[in-house]
Amino acid sequence: MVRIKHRYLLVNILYPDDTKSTLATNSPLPHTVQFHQPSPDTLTSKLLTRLLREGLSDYFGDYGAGRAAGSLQVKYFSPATSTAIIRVAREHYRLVWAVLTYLSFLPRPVERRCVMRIVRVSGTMRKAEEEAIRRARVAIQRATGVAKGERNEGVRNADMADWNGAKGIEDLDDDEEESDDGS
Amino acid sequence: MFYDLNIPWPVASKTTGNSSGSSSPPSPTDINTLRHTIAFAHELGYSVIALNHTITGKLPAAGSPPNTIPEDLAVVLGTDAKARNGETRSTNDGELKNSSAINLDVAPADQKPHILRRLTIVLTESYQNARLAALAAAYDLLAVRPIDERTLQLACGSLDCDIISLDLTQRMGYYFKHKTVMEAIKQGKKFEICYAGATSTAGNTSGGSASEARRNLIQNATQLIRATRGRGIILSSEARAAVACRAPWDVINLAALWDLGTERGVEAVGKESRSAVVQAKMKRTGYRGVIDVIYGGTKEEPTQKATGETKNKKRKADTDSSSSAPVAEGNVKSETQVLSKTQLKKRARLEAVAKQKEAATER
Repeated sequence: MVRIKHRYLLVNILYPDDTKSTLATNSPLPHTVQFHQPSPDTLTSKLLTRLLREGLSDYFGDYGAGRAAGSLQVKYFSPATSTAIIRVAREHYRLVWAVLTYLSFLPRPVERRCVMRIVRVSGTMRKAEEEAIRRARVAIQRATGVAKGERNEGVRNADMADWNGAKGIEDLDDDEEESDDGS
Repeated sequence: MFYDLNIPWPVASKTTGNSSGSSSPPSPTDINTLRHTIAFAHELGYSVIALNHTITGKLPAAGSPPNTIPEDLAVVLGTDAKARNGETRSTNDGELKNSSAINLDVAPADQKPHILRRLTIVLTESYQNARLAALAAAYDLLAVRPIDERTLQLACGSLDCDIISLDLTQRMGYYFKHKTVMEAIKQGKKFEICYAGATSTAGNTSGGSASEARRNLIQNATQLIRATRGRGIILSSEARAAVACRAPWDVINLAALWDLGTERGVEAVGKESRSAVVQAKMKRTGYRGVIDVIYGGTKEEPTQKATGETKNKKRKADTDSSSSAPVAEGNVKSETQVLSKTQLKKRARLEAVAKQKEAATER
């Protein structure tokens, strides 16, 4: 079958800075919760797309923007978990990935410093979704584990290794299922 | 296991004319920032982190102890859960030291980050070799930062260091020569690429803009990767704030765009960095090929073990000689050896044929 092949980048947005809310409460918030904050409502998938397009032309010029922007699309964005799935043509996914890496500030109306972390590069939308769900589950386990003061309980070591990407983050079985055509 | 071998140790703002060797210890706010950066780096998946103390100009004199990174990092960093969040942020230095509960749990479900201490010496014109070894002994890693071609040559050649860390955000007036660079790599020295120049918005040290710093970094990094053919390169952050840190795989992707293959990239944040750490440790603890004495053993046990081994060896030697003999003597002794089934069959058949022939001739 001849189709445009895509890569789906599963992105986690981390907020390394303290916010006022965490400073105000003196309760020791675990770091994992502190960094994995929900995004403000002003951050939408529209804004994310715009940021990516601007970043592409900033860092890779007209050529890079022209090549990669055609297939670029934010397929999914959840402010609650600060997770996004970005679709990009397979040839140019490294460019878009690099743009995400270069990003360190979300401009108005959000105005917060951020770190984009790619946690999975997948050939299919489904795999990316599965991974997003799995990570959300592990994140909750970690956070609750921290709250109870447990160590290594709740979260299996294998899950943790996966979380840190110890075994690699690219799973590229793109022939398995291609649910969507380039819309 | 991912390594980030360059998180700058905060040096208090220098007074003019003073070398950083005699600078005062970092302020509590600096420590807080550092703590935050370490926690973030660990969250991103780095399990070994090196704090980098940079010395410019003259090395501190023999008498005065250099302002090294303290031994008891956990106390200074106060990586205790309470100390980390909110509480010490408003308090002063004294209370920070009081929170001495050593608990490096940055994220409880994980292991603690392993924190190393690293010294970077900027190789200026007036560089003196004399105190280098003594100074380096106080750290886990020794890096040098050459500022021009001559000092780079020195660093690659005779100078005893673990990491060569060039300031890639500045324009180099020279090319990296394959020959010079490989000389260093053959000795096990690593070249460091610090990616913070690409991710931070601070610009470079000589006052250039962020975009200029990024451009220079990309240019120099590709040059370095070309000269080394991707060998002996380590990737580290040099992040002064948590925002400049990036997850290992993001860094690998960045390096992939700078012509460092993904495989090499993975090695650069893992294997190569580890080898730098291990080699440095070996230089400090090892002695003539002895890595470390873990357990000396009691007086009785080693002798017993030794006799047992000699017995074994003798027996082995016996069997060896018996087995090797037939080969030397040819067919004579081979009859006594155990023969394979096919060989036996073959012989039986040959014998039968011979007997038949004999019978035929008799008739």
